[in-house]
Amino acid sequence: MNNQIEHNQIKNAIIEVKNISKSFGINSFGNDLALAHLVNIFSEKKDKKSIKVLDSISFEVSRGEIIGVIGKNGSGKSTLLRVLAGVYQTDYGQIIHRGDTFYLTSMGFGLMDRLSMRDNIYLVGAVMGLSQKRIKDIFDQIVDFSELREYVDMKIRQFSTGMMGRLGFSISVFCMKNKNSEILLLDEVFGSGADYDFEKKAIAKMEELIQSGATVVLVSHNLEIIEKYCHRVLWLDQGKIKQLGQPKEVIEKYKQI
Amino acid sequence: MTFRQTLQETTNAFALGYQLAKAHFKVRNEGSYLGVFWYLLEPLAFFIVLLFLGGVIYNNSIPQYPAYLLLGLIMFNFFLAVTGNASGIIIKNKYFVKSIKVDSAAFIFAGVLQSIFSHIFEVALFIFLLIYLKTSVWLIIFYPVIFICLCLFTTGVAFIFAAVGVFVIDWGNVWNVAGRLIWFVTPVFYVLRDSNSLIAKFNYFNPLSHFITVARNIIVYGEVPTIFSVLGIIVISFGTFLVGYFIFNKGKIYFAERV
Repeated sequence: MNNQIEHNQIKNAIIEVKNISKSFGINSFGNDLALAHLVNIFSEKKDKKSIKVLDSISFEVSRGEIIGVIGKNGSGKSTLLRVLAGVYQTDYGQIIHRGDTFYLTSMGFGLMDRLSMRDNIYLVGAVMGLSQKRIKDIFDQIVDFSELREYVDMKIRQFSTGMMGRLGFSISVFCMKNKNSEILLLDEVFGSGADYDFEKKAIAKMEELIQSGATVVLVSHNLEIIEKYCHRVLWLDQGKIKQLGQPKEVIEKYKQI
Repeated sequence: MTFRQTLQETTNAFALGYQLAKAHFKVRNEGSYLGVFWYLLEPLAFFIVLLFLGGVIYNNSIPQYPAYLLLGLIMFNFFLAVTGNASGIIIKNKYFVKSIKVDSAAFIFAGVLQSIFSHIFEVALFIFLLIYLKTSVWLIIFYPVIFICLCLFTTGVAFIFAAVGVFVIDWGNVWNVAGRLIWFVTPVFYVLRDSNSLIAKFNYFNPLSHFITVARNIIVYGEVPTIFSVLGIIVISFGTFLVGYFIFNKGKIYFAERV
């Protein structure tokens, strides 16, 4: 992959992350009952305990750049992506996007097992923000890529895990492609859970999308993939940036820990 | 955000809500032996029980009592179904909320549309009852106007309940009890004769009571409603919708991290 592209050569930042922090309350209200709320109000007990998931993070992503995010479980990778996508709000700091974003965290979410494959394609496509007309236009591409044409009117509860993987991957990838977003935020999207042949095809398709010219922030534990595709790598450790630099250099240091 | 952007966002959320409602409608009826007849059986069974209680036990003298009862019942049931569903709807869809940038308002619209599908069958049942009772049926043409107002009011309340349900996990249980209490104090199966009673005073501030009364007066009794009551339900319905939508939009940016 083209690792030679120097960051300094690309000056037009499409994403600017300025000193962002994010904490989650340990005694989150979301887990409390109404009675507990009432007791807290009268006892003036505050939700004091919190854990800082992102701590003073700043970086920029240039237009067309592919940036990988690595780190151990709980280091804040997925939270960073959710914050970039606008799913979570920051406590402090600022994020500037200069393009529309498409956030994908897993393949096959939203599939309803009592609906047919056809209905699921229309449903998940709508959830991913495509109009019914647009989904109709790409319907055949999704079905052909999944190689499940003969099952198109079958309820997917009768599908095997591998078939579900094929369907989920095909819908997600073709919806992502057709949204034509300038910024792709991808969290562990490699791997469809299908058989070897489909897996190879899926990886090739994902490669094609990542290299299509969009700006990509890619979270993955697969260091080979990160090294292969990314121009720069951001290493997160306990919510802080441990290192941000060339893939080979960052990954080597990461492996030593 | 400009008015045009808000309108576009709401339209998109409604379009997604429609797709979700269609999918849930298919799922609900898939493999069912009675299919859409389930939509009729529940209100019909409840109606028969209450008709028996009202007619035999209370021996009431309410004119056109079966139509009076069924109309009140289906209108209140619509409100209860939408608001009950909304109380836990964000938590129920937390996988979507956390996994993709989706407008959570779509889940509320989906719930409302599903209840509208059911309500259509209930209204058909009501029309059959009017025909059976040999009562004038044509006044039913005014029902869609009243129902649009009821829908707006109910959707506004649903928005508030959905937002509260994210922050107070047992809100669904609280509303389950409170909703039943309001059902009993709203004149669904009885009539309020003493206007100075506590229940009558409560119902003065109970929008549902006004919606049901206006609908009954027009459709069952063929009476022209007062300007005050018509304006009242229009203001309440639009006002509640706007307030509910505002509260929901203020809270929705925190949903993903709370569920």
